[in-house]
Amino acid sequence: MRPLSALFVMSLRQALPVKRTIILVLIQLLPALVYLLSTQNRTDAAALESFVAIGASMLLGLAVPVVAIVLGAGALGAERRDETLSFIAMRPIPRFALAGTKTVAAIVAGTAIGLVGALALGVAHVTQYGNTSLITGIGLAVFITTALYVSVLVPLGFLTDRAVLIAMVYLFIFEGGVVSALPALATISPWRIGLSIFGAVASDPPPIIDDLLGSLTPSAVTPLLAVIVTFVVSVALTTLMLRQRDLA
Amino acid sequence: MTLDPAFVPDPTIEVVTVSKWFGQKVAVSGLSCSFGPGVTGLLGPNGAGKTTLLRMISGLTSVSNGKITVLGKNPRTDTGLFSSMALVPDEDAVYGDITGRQFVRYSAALSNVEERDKPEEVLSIVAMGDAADRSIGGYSKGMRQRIKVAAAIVTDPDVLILDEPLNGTDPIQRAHLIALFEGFGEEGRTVIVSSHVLEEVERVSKRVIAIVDGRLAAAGSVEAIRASMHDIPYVVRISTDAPRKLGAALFASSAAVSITSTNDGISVSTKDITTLGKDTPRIASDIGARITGFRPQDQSLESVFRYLVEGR
Repeated sequence: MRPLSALFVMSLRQALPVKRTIILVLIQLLPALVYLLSTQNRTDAAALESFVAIGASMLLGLAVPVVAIVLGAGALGAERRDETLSFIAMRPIPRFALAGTKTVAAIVAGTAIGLVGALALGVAHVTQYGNTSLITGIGLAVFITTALYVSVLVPLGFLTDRAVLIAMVYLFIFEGGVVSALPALATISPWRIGLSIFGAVASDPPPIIDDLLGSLTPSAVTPLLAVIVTFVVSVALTTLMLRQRDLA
Repeated sequence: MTLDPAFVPDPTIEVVTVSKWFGQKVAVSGLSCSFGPGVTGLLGPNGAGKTTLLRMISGLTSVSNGKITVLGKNPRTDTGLFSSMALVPDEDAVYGDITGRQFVRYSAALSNVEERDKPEEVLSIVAMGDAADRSIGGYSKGMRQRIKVAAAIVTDPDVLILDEPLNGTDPIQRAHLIALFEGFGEEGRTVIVSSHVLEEVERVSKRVIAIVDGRLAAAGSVEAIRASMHDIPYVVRISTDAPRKLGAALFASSAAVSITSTNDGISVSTKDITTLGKDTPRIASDIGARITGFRPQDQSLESVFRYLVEGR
């Protein structure tokens, strides 16, 4: 376990250097700020609707994915670019453990950053309307969203230097445009899968959540299953690439 | 029966007709050799395929054809092997934002080294104790080389692979590292040190494997390789104020094979550059010619090795 814990700690450190962490945290605070500015003197029902339509959708559909994409793509991609991959690959650590640990570290780092945004959004709502029931749901949604994007981005980041660009195009063009126009494609939109757990956990979510979810329905089980399956497939793919590809 | 000098009697590393190509480019071609306990120099000009070979031995790069075993195992598939093998790569495979001490401790932790004092011990061995708390990003090239060596030897490897480890080191650091590698060899570890400088390899090891264009150029003792190199015809350009006179007189030297003259000098083909170097000033003095230049042409290591490959 010592080699893996050392790898995990170093991976967290690589993922979150001070300057980058500050920038990523500031990005997470934006949804809460926009939500606060847009909900001055509103009724509770209107504020709840804004919480989902503005706060949650901005957090889960923009801030959290951006962080997860950057951290996921860099988990092994940065080691390859910085030529330190040989340093960790030439260790008595099975390839699947290497891939799994790097992925878990990126998920933990991304979730930690995302939870700052979730907490800020929750606090913004609580200070105005006194309702704390949304914080758990949005926190879980942050974890699901982060885990899905990171799991996809770790093998992609190892495969190509353009992983971030590809993922951003997917996020903004496909998820932001195409899925909005064709709700049936919501099942391949990671942030909407994350939002679905919020819909299941939050008490009495506003109807606007159905518009955002498209063909998805609020569920606690499906997102967790999606995370498990995506994580396993991601680690298997990354392990395969670590075994097959030249690590230099 | 005499063993081919490319092979050793009790190998820890066996390279059997190994080839590696990247697309159309052939980096290593049908190479066979073996390495055993002690220090072996891997010599060849830049781009010869040394790094590719070392990466294949380290399991980082796949072989396109052939087979490599290290301690009887396949380095590509058996990650357990890495508890007995370490690589010091040519490139800066270091984390710039951590200190040297953290880097070596990280290496020890990744390889599950249980001796707690080991990182401090190796930092002291490579004389990096004083700089160990500085960020690696601020290290000189020589210091980076030494911290990479420390990170490799902290795992106490039976097989130590060093790719151009003396690059960027000053003479004192170089002497220190060479003594260190020799010590590892004397302890019975298999140590491979690559370099493109013959004199460097000569100082580190008695046995040399020389490759060029991905093929075996020469193998054996440094003396044997030097002897092979003595047969190479060199062309020496001698600048003089009396080219015709000197050219005619130099035929008296047994070292000159052929001579061509131009307005400002002569080109002498020789297989014994040392004797030619001794004879030329003496003969010039005898005939009253003034020599303003004595420059061997095309004497790069690459051309020397290419000759060896073609003659093999």
